[in-house]
Amino acid sequence: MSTNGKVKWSFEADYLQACNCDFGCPCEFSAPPTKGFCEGVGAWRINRGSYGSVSLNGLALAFAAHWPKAIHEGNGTVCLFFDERSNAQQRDALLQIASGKAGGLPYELIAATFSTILEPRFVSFQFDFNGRDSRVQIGNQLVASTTSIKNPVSGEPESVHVNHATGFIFKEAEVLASKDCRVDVEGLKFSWPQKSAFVAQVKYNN
Amino acid sequence: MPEKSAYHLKGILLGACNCDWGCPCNFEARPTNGFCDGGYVWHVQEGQCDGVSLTGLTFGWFGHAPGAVHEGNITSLLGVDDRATPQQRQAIEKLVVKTPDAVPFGIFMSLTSNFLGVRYTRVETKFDGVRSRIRFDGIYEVELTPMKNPVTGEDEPATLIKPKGFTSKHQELCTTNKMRLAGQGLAFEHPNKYGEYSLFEYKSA
Repeated sequence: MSTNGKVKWSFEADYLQACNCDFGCPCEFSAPPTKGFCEGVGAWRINRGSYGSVSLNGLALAFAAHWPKAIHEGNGTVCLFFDERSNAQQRDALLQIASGKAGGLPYELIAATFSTILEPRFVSFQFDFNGRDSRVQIGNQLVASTTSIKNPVSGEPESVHVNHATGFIFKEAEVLASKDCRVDVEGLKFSWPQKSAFVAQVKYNN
Repeated sequence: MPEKSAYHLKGILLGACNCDWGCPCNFEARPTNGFCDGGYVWHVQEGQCDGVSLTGLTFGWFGHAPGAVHEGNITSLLGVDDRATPQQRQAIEKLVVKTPDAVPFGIFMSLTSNFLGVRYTRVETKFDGVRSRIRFDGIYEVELTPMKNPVTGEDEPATLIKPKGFTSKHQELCTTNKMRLAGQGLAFEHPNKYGEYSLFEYKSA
């Protein structure tokens, strides 16, 4: 099964993202990142998916990245993480997808923003998707967790949902605060608690 | 003196400020530039206050906050369409300026330390979603336009759904071609920054 020489793939996933921007991440609205640069992580739990005849059901992948300016200005450093439970075929499939080589959004676009690609990691993923209070731990190298944004006056949890029809990572999401957003691998290390986070359900294909 | 008002208003809200697109304040984050120059304009499509119909009227609240809005110390003024009858003027002034319980107006006024007063002027409106325009003659002008993708230049639509939002619960986010206030004692100009086209409904308890 291939189109234009590329293997057809698609998946549906739960997605958690966190970065160093303030709540609401300006980049979501085509504005410059809060601090002028971006450090962020994103993790997908594939509920159902395939790459050609290779099943991706139940597998996971993630990235941690640093971009010196806005993401679209490029020159980023990335480390990709893949589910250690994947077999050789599945690993190749996930690598083809996440590297952008297989085509399809969002990976094809994001991949073009990286100039330094660190060694991919095959590690364990522990997801706890629970709406606004979600968490993922990836090996002992990456943790991201979320909670509601709190009203600065009343302290009450806020409820903010964004719809973004032209979004290429997600088209709608819960707008949240991170509790953890940290990664520690050689060449990439940061920790940004109490910053921007999103939880979404996504569908991708090429 | 604080007063009570019985009101029910529905209509269109146009917001604009000096923050970057998306406005961090929407998410309880600090304003982009550390302070807020902004305006909200309400066009009442259907509504009344204390039995006085306000249907078809437009009024706007414009302010400068030295920090985040909720930190107060705001300088503000109220602009109202001069087509309003004496009865309607009285109802709007009472609702917006003198009724602490009227959300969101009472919140904005409670954060205002320097109120410059009410200005009556001719208001011209053209509503077309995130391409709407409003002009308060001699005071304020805002013209909305869609946000653009920084790479492709294409329109970027974004909607916020905020069930607990106190100005509106449904916001179409955009930017502005024009955004200028020239009120006595308060003036600013911030085109190409944050804009929103929202729907509002406010009702007294």
